[in-house]
Amino acid sequence: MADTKNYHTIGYGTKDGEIKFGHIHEDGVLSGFIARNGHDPNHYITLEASGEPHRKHGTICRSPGSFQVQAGDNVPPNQAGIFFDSVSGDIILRASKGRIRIEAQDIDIIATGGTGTKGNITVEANDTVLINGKQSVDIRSKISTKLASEKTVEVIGNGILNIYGGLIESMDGSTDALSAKGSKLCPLPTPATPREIQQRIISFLKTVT
Amino acid sequence: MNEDRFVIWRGQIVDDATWKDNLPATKWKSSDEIPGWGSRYRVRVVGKDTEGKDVPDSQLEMATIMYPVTAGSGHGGSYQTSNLRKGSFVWGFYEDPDLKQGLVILGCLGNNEQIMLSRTTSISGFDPFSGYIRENVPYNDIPAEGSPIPPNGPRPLEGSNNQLQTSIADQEQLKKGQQEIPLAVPSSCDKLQLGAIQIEIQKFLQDIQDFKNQVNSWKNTILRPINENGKSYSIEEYITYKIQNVAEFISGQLKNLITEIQGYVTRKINGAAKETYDLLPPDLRASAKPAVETANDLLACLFRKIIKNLLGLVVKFLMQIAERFINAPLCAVENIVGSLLGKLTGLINSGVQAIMAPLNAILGTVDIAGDIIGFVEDIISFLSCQDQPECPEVTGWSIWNGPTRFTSSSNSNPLSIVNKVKTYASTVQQSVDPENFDFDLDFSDIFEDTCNVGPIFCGPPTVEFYGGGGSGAAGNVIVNAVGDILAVDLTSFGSGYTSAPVVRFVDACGTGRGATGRSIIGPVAGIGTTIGVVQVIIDNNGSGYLQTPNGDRGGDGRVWAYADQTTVKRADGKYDRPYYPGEIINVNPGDEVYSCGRNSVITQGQAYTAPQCSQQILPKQDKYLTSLELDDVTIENPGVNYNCSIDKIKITPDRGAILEYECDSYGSITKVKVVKRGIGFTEEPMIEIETETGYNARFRPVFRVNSIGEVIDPNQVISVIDCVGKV
Repeated sequence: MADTKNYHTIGYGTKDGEIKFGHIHEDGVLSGFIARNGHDPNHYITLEASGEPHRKHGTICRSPGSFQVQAGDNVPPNQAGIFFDSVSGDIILRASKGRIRIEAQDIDIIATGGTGTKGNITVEANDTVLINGKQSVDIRSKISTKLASEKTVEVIGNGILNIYGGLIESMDGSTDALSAKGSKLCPLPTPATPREIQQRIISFLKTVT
Repeated sequence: MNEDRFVIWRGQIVDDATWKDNLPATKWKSSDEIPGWGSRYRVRVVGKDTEGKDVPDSQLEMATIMYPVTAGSGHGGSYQTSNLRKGSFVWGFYEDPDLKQGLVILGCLGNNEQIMLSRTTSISGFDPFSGYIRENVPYNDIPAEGSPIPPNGPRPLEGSNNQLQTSIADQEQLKKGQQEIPLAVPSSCDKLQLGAIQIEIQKFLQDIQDFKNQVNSWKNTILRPINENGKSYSIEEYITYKIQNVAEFISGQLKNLITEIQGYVTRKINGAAKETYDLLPPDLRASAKPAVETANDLLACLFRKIIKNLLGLVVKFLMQIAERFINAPLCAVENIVGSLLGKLTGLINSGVQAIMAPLNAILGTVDIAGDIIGFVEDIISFLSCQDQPECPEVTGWSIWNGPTRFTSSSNSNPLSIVNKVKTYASTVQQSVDPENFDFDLDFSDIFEDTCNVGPIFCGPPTVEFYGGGGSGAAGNVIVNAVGDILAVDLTSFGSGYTSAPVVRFVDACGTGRGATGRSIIGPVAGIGTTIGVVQVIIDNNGSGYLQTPNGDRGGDGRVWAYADQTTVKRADGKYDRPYYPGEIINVNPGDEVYSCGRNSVITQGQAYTAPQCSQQILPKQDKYLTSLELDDVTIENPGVNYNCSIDKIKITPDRGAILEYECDSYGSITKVKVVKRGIGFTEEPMIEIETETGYNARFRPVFRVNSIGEVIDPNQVISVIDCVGKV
């Protein structure tokens, strides 16, 4: 194919900007349409006609200033004021030197993965994750819920703290949440958890009977 | 007006200083505010007005314009604006031909890009002059090529046929459009995120080099004001500004690791305390708990302090590499991260020892310092199993090139980083005062690493395979004499692929552009059930790729120094900007000067003139000869309405190949058969169907690569450089 050719590129421009049909980019990709600002080369919109799969028939909106969309003034409640749908492929929102702010009356984040490795929501911060429900915070799961910290976990109920469980085990001095070891730091060390005591008694009874 | 006569005239629109106030130049609310009567231009008419400007521009008649029918007249809201400018040559007719009055412009002559337009209007009438006088020149009308030395540098062409002119706007769009953007992934997928750090360091180095090079680059001079938000910087200020930006990113990545280490150390201290607590005499138990709490608090304080100082440490580190690195290959990033992490680990060791000292007096000696390095080793080794199914596959993106980096593409060597961490950790002798925690680290020893961060020779592209669940596929890219990619000669099929891996052509210096391809996987002949990459189909040949090195040097996707430029690496490891032939360079003993393919170490201080090279000495490459055979034809678009019983498929040049095709009841092409392969293709042949009825069918050839031992016909072979496994 060599250099991309187009004998019918049409342009219209002034010192302030231009539009073209059939523009050829420097990397050889053909653009069905380009509109660009004469004052800044990185301010342009293109409707791409060729290139790699993501690029072919794709749209690039590049603006060194902010990219703003405001819509939906006349849209009835519960209908989409702005609709973004990535039919195939990810949606990437990135603000590497800023903050992503999402504001709405209600916010739903739903993962709908169909296979075993899909359907996850990962929230990760290299400092603090703050969840603040002015009325309540409700964390539930069907299988397991864990709260863990290497240093301190505080559970505070200023009015009432209720802890319910079908079978509750608590221990201090544990080096591993999954191994059952008795208290060592408690001023009056308990030999084991109530469940362990129960198991030891059963075990002892078995040996003597 | 005499309607029986139609007299035409030709002339030139004069300097707009004499007529532009006729037009409203600002927002207006009432027609009373409009100074003139529509779009009118003052015109010097040939034969009526003199060339010698006896009648000054300001006294020439104003001409109105006639719009085409497609423009509308404004009635009913249908309109187009006039787009004439000063200097335009126009044709028209007289409304009153008898008195030669009432100028009406019918059209204009397009400006020819070959015409040199004067940048002043104080010349003879009818001489061509620029429409940009006293005007801003748009970036899309500044040609990309031209002499680097003003005033003979590139001038705006102002052509009416410049729709395909390469402008600096095009080149800037290319540069920024291809720029890689790191995409963060959860730390469970990639603890170190070396790829992201590499992208940021590469961008940082190139920005600084571009800025330094602006002395010799009119493009950078023109673009710089907008590149940096209109702010002006000295070189030192610019480097500081850029370092701050990239340091924030790197310190953010390192912070993840530091907090992992913090978690580990906290866990270890508390674990050790628990293990020894019940061995303590009862009188010491009461004091053990507050001691452990204090140790925990001091530990938290130590890590807070380290994280707070992290940015400053990375800034200090980057200051040292800013002018010493031309490229940032993965090995360099490993070195950077390894050394930063190593020194910090050494510091943490020291801090932990200080914190543990009072606790040791109660609990006995609890030595966890050595374990910290072991833990860091565990974290880094995790790199090798980062390709988890729930992790995002793409970790780098550019708006033009799309996915540029993949989690599976990291070829980093965990062992190498671990060794660097151990080495650099042992160099930190500093003891940390737990009451103060002030510290500083010395990074002067990191430049002893052997990783090549200097420029590399620009040469043919390489091919990379990402994803697909397997590994090991490799090949050499077949580039023809005019710089098109025709095929990939697979040297290793790889194994373990469950889906076709992504194919990427990587051009170290970014001279080639646009080539795309895709892989086909299948059973590898003779290796049992192994599924490997058995074919690469080229979807777009691209253009501009180098078949062999041309003497330019660079890397990380750009040319840093052209073949005729001289480069100087100072004795302290810092690189100057490349010098053009004829420039005078002051060199000192220990400096390395590279020019015309030769590298020399200066032994005596002198003023050195960058030479004009008559011949370049280029690095030797392992080459072999190949011959391309037509293997298959893929259907890009099946088209429609072909008459399969009559229409013939044709390949040009055919090199002996014969094709047949099949189509369905709609006349769409369903299959193209290679009846005879043909051999010796050195360019992509045109495959088309001669038809009176069909349209839109498009095909692409797929070549089989045959390595040959000797040249049979030099016009039928392509020389290939063996790049596999070489950097």
